[in-house]
Amino acid sequence: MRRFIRFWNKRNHYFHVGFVILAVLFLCVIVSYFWLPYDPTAMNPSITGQGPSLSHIFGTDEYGRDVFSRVLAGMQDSFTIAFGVIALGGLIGAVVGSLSGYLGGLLDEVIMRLNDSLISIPSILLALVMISLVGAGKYNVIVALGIAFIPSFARLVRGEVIKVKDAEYVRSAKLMGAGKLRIIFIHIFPNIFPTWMAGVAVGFNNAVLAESGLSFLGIGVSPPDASLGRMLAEAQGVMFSSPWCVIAPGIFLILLILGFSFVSENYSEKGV
Amino acid sequence: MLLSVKDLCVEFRDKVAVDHVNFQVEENEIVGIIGESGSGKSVSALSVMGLLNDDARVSGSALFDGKDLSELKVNERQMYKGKEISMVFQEPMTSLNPLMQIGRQVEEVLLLHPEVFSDLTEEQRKTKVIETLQIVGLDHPEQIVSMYPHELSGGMRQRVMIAIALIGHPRLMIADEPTTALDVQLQDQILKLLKKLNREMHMAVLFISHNMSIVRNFCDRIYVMQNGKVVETGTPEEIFKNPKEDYTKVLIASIPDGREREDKDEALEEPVLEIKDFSAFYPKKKKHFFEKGGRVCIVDHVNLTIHTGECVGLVGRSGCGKSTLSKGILGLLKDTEGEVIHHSKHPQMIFQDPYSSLNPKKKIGWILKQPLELRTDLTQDEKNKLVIETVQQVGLMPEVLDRYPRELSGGMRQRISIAIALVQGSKFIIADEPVSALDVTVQKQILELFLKVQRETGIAFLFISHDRDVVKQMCHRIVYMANGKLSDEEEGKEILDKEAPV
Amino acid sequence: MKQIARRLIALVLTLLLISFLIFVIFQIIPGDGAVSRLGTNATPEQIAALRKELHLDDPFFKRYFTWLFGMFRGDFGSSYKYDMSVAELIGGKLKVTFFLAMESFFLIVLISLPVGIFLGRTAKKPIGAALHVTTQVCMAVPSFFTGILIILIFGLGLKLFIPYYFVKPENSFFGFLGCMIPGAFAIAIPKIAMVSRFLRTNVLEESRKDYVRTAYSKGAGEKHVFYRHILKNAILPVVTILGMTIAEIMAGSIVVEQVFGLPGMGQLLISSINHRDFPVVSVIILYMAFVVIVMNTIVDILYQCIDPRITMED
Repeated sequence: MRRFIRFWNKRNHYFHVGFVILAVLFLCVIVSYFWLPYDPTAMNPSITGQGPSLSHIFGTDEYGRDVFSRVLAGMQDSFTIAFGVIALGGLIGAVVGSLSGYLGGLLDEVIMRLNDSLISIPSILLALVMISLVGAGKYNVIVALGIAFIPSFARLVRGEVIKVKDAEYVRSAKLMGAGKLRIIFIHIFPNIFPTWMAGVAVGFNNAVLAESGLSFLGIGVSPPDASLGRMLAEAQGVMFSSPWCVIAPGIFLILLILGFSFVSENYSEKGV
Repeated sequence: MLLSVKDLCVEFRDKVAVDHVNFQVEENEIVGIIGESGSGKSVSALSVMGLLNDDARVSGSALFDGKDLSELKVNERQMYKGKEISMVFQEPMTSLNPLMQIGRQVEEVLLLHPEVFSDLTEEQRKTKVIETLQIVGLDHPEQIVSMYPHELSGGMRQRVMIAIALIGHPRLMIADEPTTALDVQLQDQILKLLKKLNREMHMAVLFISHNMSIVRNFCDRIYVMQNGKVVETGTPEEIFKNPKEDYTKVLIASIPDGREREDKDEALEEPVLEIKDFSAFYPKKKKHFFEKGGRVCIVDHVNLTIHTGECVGLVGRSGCGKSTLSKGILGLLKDTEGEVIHHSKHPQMIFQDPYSSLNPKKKIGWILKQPLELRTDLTQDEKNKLVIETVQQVGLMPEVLDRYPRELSGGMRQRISIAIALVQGSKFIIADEPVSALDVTVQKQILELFLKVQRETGIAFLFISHDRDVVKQMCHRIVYMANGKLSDEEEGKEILDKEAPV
Repeated sequence: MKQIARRLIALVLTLLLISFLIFVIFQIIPGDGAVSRLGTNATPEQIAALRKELHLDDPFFKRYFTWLFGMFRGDFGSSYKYDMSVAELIGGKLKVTFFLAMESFFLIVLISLPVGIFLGRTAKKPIGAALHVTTQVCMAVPSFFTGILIILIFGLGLKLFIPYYFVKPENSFFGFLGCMIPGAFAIAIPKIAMVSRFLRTNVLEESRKDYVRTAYSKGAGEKHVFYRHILKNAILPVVTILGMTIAEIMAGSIVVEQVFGLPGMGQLLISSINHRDFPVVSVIILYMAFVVIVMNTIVDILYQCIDPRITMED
């Protein structure tokens, strides 16, 4: 706890605001696993398209489903997918980047040429390519985006490794007879961990954005899963008659992304 | 009286950087302010120039030619900057605008002071820029005006900086460590230039430095600063012959006196390191994609043997290949020829920059125990005990084991570097400019520690430096290096004494 | 010159690599193109005939080069779904996506530079701080939601434009450009925020550098130092960032075309993916990658031309 307070005090107000937003949203998601005001998939023809009221605080959609419950359920998916994407892309990217950066030579040359080619294609396009092969669905989206995120993490980590690998303390570790893997993971990695974490925060931000974009296009999560992006796509048809169906998931989506971007403020500008 | 600073105080947030400082500069005088880092000498100079950031709170007065600069409005003060008072900074590499041609950067001073130079035509301005570049000793000024800073060497850039400070015919030039970032040979040239300008252009110089021996020969009067206060003042003779304050005495004592090491012939005949016909290469930059990569020879057929208990000095200018040689000895290079034979295990290296030589994310205790991790013949307790003993041997308290490198001073970090070598039982250490990043008083302590450790343990040293005085005091014998080649004493001195090309 | 030649060689190699990857992904991995076109009810003879017609039995590299050189001749293959060549299918849609991307790129350049300069100059004032937070919010809004908000507020509320109204370029070119402006804004707004924040950071970083102090020591005023010294150094890296936004504009246009109902390549791409119409998907992806990579190379070369530090070396 004391460490957390010290950590908290060292950060700026952007971080504080972002952290609070994320904490509240995360709490909502946890609660929503156990309790929701209504069943998010239950249709009720008698209350279709109602505006916000005390019983349905964000109103109901054209099938009479409770928008608030659907937003909470949608956030579950957005969180899960973002987490999966980062776990996949961030870890594999870190391993690829640090090996490529530290070992150098032909391996590095080949990996980086491939990486540069892939990085020039927007990650959403890469994900589209993969989804067009394997089809839509929550887990396919995780894999597709996760792979699409590997190049940027690999480049981030590689750059840091190259910066650190000629540092004098790495040289003296070599002189002591430490092996390559030991140098990478014990001596170098702790030093690039903060940058990697910053990359993770920015990555979460991008993962939520990319997933919502895919789902909005109808090739992300498939029913009955309902991420926030998918809800927006579905509600686009009724946005003139019941705008709350668009506004509510939109605002939660923005809050989610804003939370991550505030937390990663100061890093996002480094072009991570 | 040209400049008279009275009761100058500068505070940053809650820290007092300059505390009631008084100093004066007469017309045509060279005045030195000397002090270690954090003594407030640069801050004083910047505040006279009006170049401090907004978060600095300044009080006191700075009378220039009878006018109080601190009471002037912003635009009135601008008329003084560059015209009446100009300044040369420490870092010639970063002090010029990288995207602006040299000629335009020098000419800018004329354009910024239309009150004096508005009657000059464009042609006349160009001629004046070229003249000024010539005065500061730059060859081919017609070509230099259209060059960019990155195309010039450090010494040339510092001359350009001096040209910028000179072109407005100021009556006072403030030079803030103008030679610190330069090689020893270049330092001399720049100092001679400043002295010449002082004589011929009737320009007073306020010279700020941490280097006692430079100030002694260069200045007419000296102010010694410590912790934001002026502690002593006088002519160089007064101060060096008869220093009153303890601090001044310490500063003077820490100048390497160029005395040679006395215990000369103790060296044993057992070699720890033999270098035979060793050459090292770097890959040449490829000009186009399909070109076969060539290589540049950095170290050229070097032969050297170092014996147990011996301390060998390696002296050479920056870029002569001495750092490459040291990497080659430790096997950190890829492309080498010839032989390097180590007769001892675990050669160790002590680096110039104590800030990057220790892993910033690990505690000192962890760092010191690393070399022991691979050893199985010791128990954990024995390892811990060994680490604590070593830390005490290099003059530190065991508490530092629980600290991170960033919490230690530069001198303490160099002590830890020595401790690392001791812990793993090295018999041979390469020290690459181990004290040049440290304050003079700390330098002296670390050099003494080196001597003590060497006498106690019989470790052999290869001591690399560009400062001959330091090396003389430390080493049994000295080898010189130039253009990748080692040479014996006589020849080497000649190479070193020759004027550096500018 | 050598630098430029090197960049161009790298460009060709990257394009070949990408085309190869796309060929493998879309022509080899999905399996038999003849089966997917004829359906599972087709007789083996029909399949064999079509395989021959499509050259599916040729060796791997021969197929790749036939495919690649076909594209140089304008033969992009034919769609599985529609009985049309891919070239015909893409035809007019290319214009929509291209001009949508161009419009948003111009918006980004035109707006982000002044905004970034303003942000940098007012960084310590409340107005600057407020605007700084605003840009961060703008970055957090996904472009499709920006699009929805633009339709709701400016289309439906303020009636500044008619939502889903599209003019064909054949009918009126300026009408065509005009009807895409709301979409271009939806793509551009987050990027404007990003680029102007980047410029702001650069301005603040450059202001702390030593050469700025030198300029002040010459007697320069604050404005002179900013516009003559800081600005050029701060803007230079923005060129690279602008190059990188091109990729994201492309990605953004796929989504925004859906929101605004613009009949561009994005819409075609999505419907082709849904129908697993791989020849169309592969050509569109290849085209987008091509545009992004070529534009990045141009930006790189441009950067080398304006930064004396790079052109002079080597």
